[in-house]
Amino acid sequence: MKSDGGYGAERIFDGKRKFHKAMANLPIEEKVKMVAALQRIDYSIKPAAWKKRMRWKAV
Amino acid sequence: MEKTLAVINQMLELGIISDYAIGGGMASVFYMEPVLTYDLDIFCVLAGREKGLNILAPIYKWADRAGYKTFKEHLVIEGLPVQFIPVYNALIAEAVKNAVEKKIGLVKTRVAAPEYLVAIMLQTSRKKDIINAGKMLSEAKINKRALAKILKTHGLPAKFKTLEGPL
Repeated sequence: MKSDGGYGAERIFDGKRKFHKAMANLPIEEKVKMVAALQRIDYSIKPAAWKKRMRWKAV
Repeated sequence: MEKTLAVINQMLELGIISDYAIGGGMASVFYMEPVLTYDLDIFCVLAGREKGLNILAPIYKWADRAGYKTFKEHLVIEGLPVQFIPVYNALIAEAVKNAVEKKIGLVKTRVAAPEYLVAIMLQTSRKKDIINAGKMLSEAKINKRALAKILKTHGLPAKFKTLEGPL
């Protein structure tokens, strides 16, 4: 496939890769807070599933 | 998290456990972007002689004395559900032995190295483990030579090939 010169899909995926790597390099304290935020989102989407789970009270 | 890990370190000092490493989803968060996880998995070597179904008895006795309650299969330590998983095979034992020292705030802790986490994910091979193993390989700093050695020792190269191809 002919390259689009980095202005199309390739550039978007390159940007996504950089974003994920940047997230991976955040300090662990920040990442733990993000895990707690992901739990809150998951709880809001499927509260019934959380009857058998426990949200973290302290991060 | 810091308080919970401080308590686990205290368990180590008291001899309730003789070694440990954070494993599972929380361990992977140390090396890659945050993922949704529900508990703190602790791979542990137990100091006592209990075997079989009683293997976790010393931990639960200690928790009872310390006033920590249980939730399903977890112990709730300072607000976090913690699952203690006694080392159950050679790969986990090696992961605990070669765990990496990390810090959260002021608290030191031990975390399974990323190469071991990839190997464990391949060994357990649940759908989410395979996805996270792929993410770990693309986001974490992996020592490929060390990973290849671990995979070979524990008979996992074939599973790895389905993920990325030969090392």
